[in-house]
Parts: sequence; structure tokens; C-alpha cells
Amino acid sequence: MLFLCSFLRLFNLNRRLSQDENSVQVASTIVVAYLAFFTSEIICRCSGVIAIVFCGITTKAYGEILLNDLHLTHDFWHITELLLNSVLFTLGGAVWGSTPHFSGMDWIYLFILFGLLVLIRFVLVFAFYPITSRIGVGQSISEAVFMSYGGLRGAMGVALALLLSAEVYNATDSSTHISTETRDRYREFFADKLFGLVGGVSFLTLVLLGPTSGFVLKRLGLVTPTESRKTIVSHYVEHMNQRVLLLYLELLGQERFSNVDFSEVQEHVSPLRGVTEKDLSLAVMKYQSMNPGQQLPNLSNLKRYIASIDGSDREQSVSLHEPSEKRRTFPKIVSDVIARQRRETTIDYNTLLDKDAVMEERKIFLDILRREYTRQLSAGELDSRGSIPLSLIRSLDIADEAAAKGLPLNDWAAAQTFGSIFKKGDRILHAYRVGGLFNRRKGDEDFQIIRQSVLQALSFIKAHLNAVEKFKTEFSSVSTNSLTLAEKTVIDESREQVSKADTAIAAFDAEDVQSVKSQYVCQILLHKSANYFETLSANGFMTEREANEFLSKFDLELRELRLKAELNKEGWREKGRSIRLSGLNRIAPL
Amino acid sequence: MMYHRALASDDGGEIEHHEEETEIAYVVLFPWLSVLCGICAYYVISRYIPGLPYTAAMFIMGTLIGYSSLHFFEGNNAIVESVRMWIGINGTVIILSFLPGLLFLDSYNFNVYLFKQSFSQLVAFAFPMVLFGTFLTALSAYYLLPYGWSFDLCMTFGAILGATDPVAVAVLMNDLGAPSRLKVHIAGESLLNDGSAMVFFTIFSLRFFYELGIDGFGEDVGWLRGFILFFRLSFGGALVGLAFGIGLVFL
Repeated sequence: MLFLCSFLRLFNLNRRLSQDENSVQVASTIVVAYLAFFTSEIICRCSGVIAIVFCGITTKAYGEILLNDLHLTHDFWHITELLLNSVLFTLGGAVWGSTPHFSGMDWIYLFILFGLLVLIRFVLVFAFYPITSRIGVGQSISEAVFMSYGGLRGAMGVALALLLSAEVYNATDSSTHISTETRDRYREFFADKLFGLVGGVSFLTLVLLGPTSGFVLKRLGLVTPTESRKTIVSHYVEHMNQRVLLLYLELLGQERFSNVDFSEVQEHVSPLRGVTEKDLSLAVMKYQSMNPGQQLPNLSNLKRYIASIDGSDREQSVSLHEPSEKRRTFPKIVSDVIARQRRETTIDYNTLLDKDAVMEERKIFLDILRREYTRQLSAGELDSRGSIPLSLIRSLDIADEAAAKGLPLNDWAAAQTFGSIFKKGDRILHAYRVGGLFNRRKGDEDFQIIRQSVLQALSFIKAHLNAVEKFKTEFSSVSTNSLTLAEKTVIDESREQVSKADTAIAAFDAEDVQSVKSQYVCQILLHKSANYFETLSANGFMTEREANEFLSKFDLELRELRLKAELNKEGWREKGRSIRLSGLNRIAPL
Repeated sequence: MMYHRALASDDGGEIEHHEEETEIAYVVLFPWLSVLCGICAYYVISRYIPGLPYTAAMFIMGTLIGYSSLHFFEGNNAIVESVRMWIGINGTVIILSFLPGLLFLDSYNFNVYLFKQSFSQLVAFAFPMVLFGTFLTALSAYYLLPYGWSFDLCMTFGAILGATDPVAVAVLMNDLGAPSRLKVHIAGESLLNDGSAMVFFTIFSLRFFYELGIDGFGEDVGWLRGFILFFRLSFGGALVGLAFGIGLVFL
């Protein structure tokens, strides 16, 4: 067995770049875990549990660095644990619920026994405290109290009780020497009563001690953050605020968001509420270093709402309209810009238009677009609970099919077709979000239709612009620094699609579009804020509790924003429904 | 598929034995039904009862399923049949199927350096403390419960309740940022005392089955045999685990 196991060795599965091999590595860990348990328990008649503990620790000690994909391994085992816990505890509960001989006085015995077990646990921990506090890494009184309180009964107890109960049934079934009465008595008192008590104790510890453990942990002062820890967290918050402000500047730099109202954004995005002039100056400096040569977005709207700082700081702050010369003239960045501009304008006319090449380029471009929509979804730019991502991704299927036949890009028309198909689903979703059919209002519903159309167009334009940029910088030839005719053709087709989407947005009332854009910007900024703390928590720089405080706050802000976005109908009646909805007719499927 | 589990009928608590051929395919249904219940439970807990441990919710779900399959349904309902099949499943199969998957990740997640540093403490928590706890629990059960349990069955019962489960507390400690030393003690004690509880369970359940006087079940484990069994189970298990762990990595 061990010889066979050696073939599963992690050391030799060293092709880190092969996804299949990474999966095989994970499979090898599960095979070894189960085989170690089986070999120890059944073949060697030793303890399978101790075998699995030592197997796991040895694998961690020597094999952690050999695992090609740590996340895959961890996620796989985490899901396995979730599935097994679900089945085991449901099974334990099912056996407990179907135990026929547990009633009346048994419940009283269960509660007395539970109390005694808690007491015994305290007695045990404190009886050994004089020893355990002096050996190993030591132990404090508070830790001993929590250890006594937190010693829950769970999976192992349920599994062993199931084992004993099943064995009693099996033993009494297979015996021909015992009478029916004896068999029934054995089953009632040795299997059913015992399982009833173990199941009850497990349940009570999980329900009574589990939820209160957090309170005990806090009362014992074991999780009280120190002043220095609070300072570290406040620094994280400052960095997050700075990042969100920088992202806001970047969004303002995009033409489609250039006229977004800062007061509306500030209302929904809490990290932007306390922005000072100094914060803005720092963000502007970063923006300029990241986007050399680019004109600074118009900040007049923003400057009206930011908090002032004292005179000395104002003097030190960088002018918001004058880009930093030092940053702008940084040679490497400038050469990159020139290279980008050359790619934009230089066409290699020596290359003949090859239809097969154009088809291939279109396919690549559509793949980039698909990835871009996925990115928007994971970044929270696209709301996954709606028809927009569905219609945009489905539109690429149609575009793929058309591209295979040699037809030009037509995903905007396809997205419109799918948007119309999913419209009913959107209405139902809207009714659900606003609290049912009776709470739904015509004005809200109509605004929701406009909102969906504008958001779809915005996502579509963003995806195309990013895809074109990526297509030019990552998929064209590096050596010639120019575009082939096939590449240029695809880029032109994309621009044509973008102009159709632009026309669609322009068809709507400017005030409505402005409102939708502001909400869209808020959504992006809030997701960015949440993402910052998620990353800190995932990397272990923040505890889950610290991160959760911020994450739940942003989650609430996002939900409020979404609801408000769907209920926005200010000024609806003044302008008239038919005027506002007229834009929809102009973007009907082509 | 045959299953052998006594279920009381509704009329008068009379024991009825189900020994009939049932559709073997039904066996697949229960695990996915459990996971489906788990998904629903997770949704409710995460939004409305954040303090309730997931496993406790699953136990409640299971209790409702078990109770309703016993009292409210009759006949060849696929769900009820599947539940009955799983209720009567062989105990060893349960242990072999569930424990490796549940324990490997906890063992793997352990901080190896701290495990080495606190090994003496963890051994003290796991072996003498579990044995002492098993004894105290057995005494309580022996004098409290009126079921006529022998002391060996009480010791088996004590061993079963000697195992602690860190899942709910471990999640909580990670969430709240408890000190590493406490996390190591709780997780390490739990892992090792799962092993020691299993060892004591094996020894005392052999004695208990021997008392029942059924041929082929149990063994009269004396003190010497008990010690030998204890060392074989614990050290043998550790060696097998080390061998497989090293085999996976290097051999």
C-alpha cells in the first residue's frame, strides 16, 4: 500500500503550470488521507484518527511548499468538509429523531448529564492546569476558562455513537442465541438510549455553548484589540479612502463619467464623505504619476464639497490643475505613451486584408470581451443579480457564431435582442426588490427599464474600450509596433459598436442618464472599498472580525444604493412618461 | 439493499422490522437531500440567526427528517426509504467515509511549529485528561442513569463524550482574532483527543460487547491487554500516519 502511495508523491508532480497536474496533486492528498485511515483502522488495527492527524501534519510540514496550487487544495478540502459535516450531522439528527426509546424522563437525565459534563470539563482543565501552565507554550487562567467552556462535542461523538448503535443492532441481529426480549432490551437501553443522550449532549453544546462562546471570549479579554492594533486598522482605513478617491478621479477621467455629481456620490459612498483638500492633492499626485501625459479630469464639482484644511497645508498642497512636471517627464512612462499612440495611428498597409486572419482576430477579440465582462462581474461593476450580464454574455455567443461565418462584430444588436427577452424577468425582480407586487409603482418600473438600458450600454462601452486597449497592447506584434489590417478592421468594428451604444445613451433624457451614471459610479466605488478589506483579510493582515465590520457596512450601503436606484423617479411626472421612454424606441433591436 | 433498523410503528410503539428489498438507487438521495437542507440552513443562519452553529442547524434538520420519516410517512416514498437506508448503515462504513475527510483539513491547517512546541501540553490534554474525563463521565452515568448500564458501557459512553469538536469555536476564534496559543490548544487538543477517545472507545466497547455474550463480538480486555492495545492503537496509528504523510511527500 505504501509502495503504491509512493507513486502519488507530491515531489514528482512538479508541473506547476499544468492545471490537470494540480488537480491530480489534490486527488493524491485525498487518496492518501483515506488510505491512511483505512490501513491504520482496518489492516493494522491501529487508530485511524491518530493516523490521519499525523498524516495531515506531516503533509503540511514537508509537502506544503510542494503543492502547486494551495488555494485549490484548501478549497477542495474545505468543500469536502462542508459536504461531510452536512451529511454526518443530518444523519446524526435523523437517527436521533427516529430513536424510538427516548422520551419523558430521558430528557431530564439529558439535561442533568449535560450540566455535569460542563462541570467535569472545568474540573478536568483546572485539575491539569498546574501542569499545562508550566509545560509547552504555557497557558493563562483566562485561556483555561475558555478552553473549559469551549470544549464542544460534535462530529466525533456523533460518529462514535452512530458506530456503537449500529454495532449493537448488528450484533443482536446476527445472534441466534438471544431471545427477542433480550434483543429488544439491548437495543433500547444500549443503543437507542445511549445515542439519544450523546446526540442530545452534542446538540445542547452546539446550541447553548457554541453561540455564547464569542461573548465569553470577549468577556475574558482574549480578543480585545490593543491601541497599536487600532492604529494599524485606522491606517488601513486611510489607505482605503485614498484608493477610493483615486478610483473616483480615474472614473472622472473617463468621458462618460466626467459630469457625475460628487454630492450624490458622497451621499452613498461613505469613504468619500470626509475628503479634505489634502487628500485630494495626494490623490491627484498619484493620478498624475499613474496617467502621465493625460489631462486631469475636471474637479470643479468635487472641490465645492471637500472639507478645507488650514492655510499652511493648503500652501503645501499641489495645485489641482497643474500636473506635476517631474512625474510627467519620467522617460519610461512617456515612451510607453508614445508607443501606445503609435499603435493607435500606425497601420501596416503592406499587410493584405486576409479574411481568415480577420476571422481569427474577431474570435480573439470576442474572447477578450468575454473575459472583460467576467472581470466587471467579479469587480462588482456589473450587478450579477439582473439580466444585464446575461444579455451581454449571451450576445457574445451570437457574435461568435456570426464571426465564424465571416460576418463583422454585431454584439450590440444581439445584446439588445436578449435585453428585450429578459425584460419580463427584470420586472419580476424589480417587484421582488421593492417588496412585492403591491409596492410596485409604474414610475419606478419605467425608470428601472431606462436604468437597465443605460447600464447595459455603459458596461458594453467599457468592455469594448478595455478590450480594444488590451487587443492593441497585448495581442498585436511587439517587434513592429504596428497594427495589421485585420487587427485594424476588428478595432474599427468595435468602435462602430461603441458608437451605437453611445447613440443609445444619448437618446435618453440627460438627467436620467446622469442619475444612473452617478449610481453606477457609487456601485463601483463601494465594491472597490469592500474589495480592499477582503484582500487584507484574505492575506491575513486583518482578522475576519475587523474586516467584517467594514464589509457589512459596505454591504448595507450597496443594498441601500440598489434599492434607491430602483425607486428613483424624481421629476418623472414633470417631464412626462412618454418623453422619457421615447429613448427606448430608438435603441430597439436592430 | 437490506437494512436492519428497528422502527416503532404509530400504533402503540410496537417494534416493526423492515427487512425488505428496496431500490438501491434511493441510497444516493439522502446525501444530496442533506446538502440541500444545508444550503437552506446556511441561508437562514447567515441572515437571521448568525450565532447558531451550522452543524447544530443540520442536527435539527436531521432530527426533523428522522422524526417525520418515522411518524408521518409510510410506504415506498423515495426520501423516506433513503433516510431509512442511511439510518441503518454500517457504523464502520460511517467512520471510514466521514472521519478522514473531516479530520485531514484540520490536521493540515495546524501550525507545525506550534504543534511541536506545545506537543507535551497537547498530549496531556489528550490522553490523561481524556481518560480522567472518561472515568468521571462514566461514574456520573453509572450512578445517574437508570438504564442498567454496566461500567464498561459507561466507560464507552464516557469515551464517546470525551472527544471535543473545535469547528464552531475555531471559526469563532478566527473571526474574533483569538491568540495563537489558545487556537493551538483548542485545535490541537481536539485533534489528539479525537484519537485518544477513539482508542478508549475501542478498548471499552470490546469489553462491553464481550459482556453481551454474543459470539464473534467483543473481547475480554484485561489490564495488560488494555495497555498493549492502547499503545498499539495510538503509536501504531501515529506511525501509519507518519508513513503515509512521508510517502505522499517524498518516497
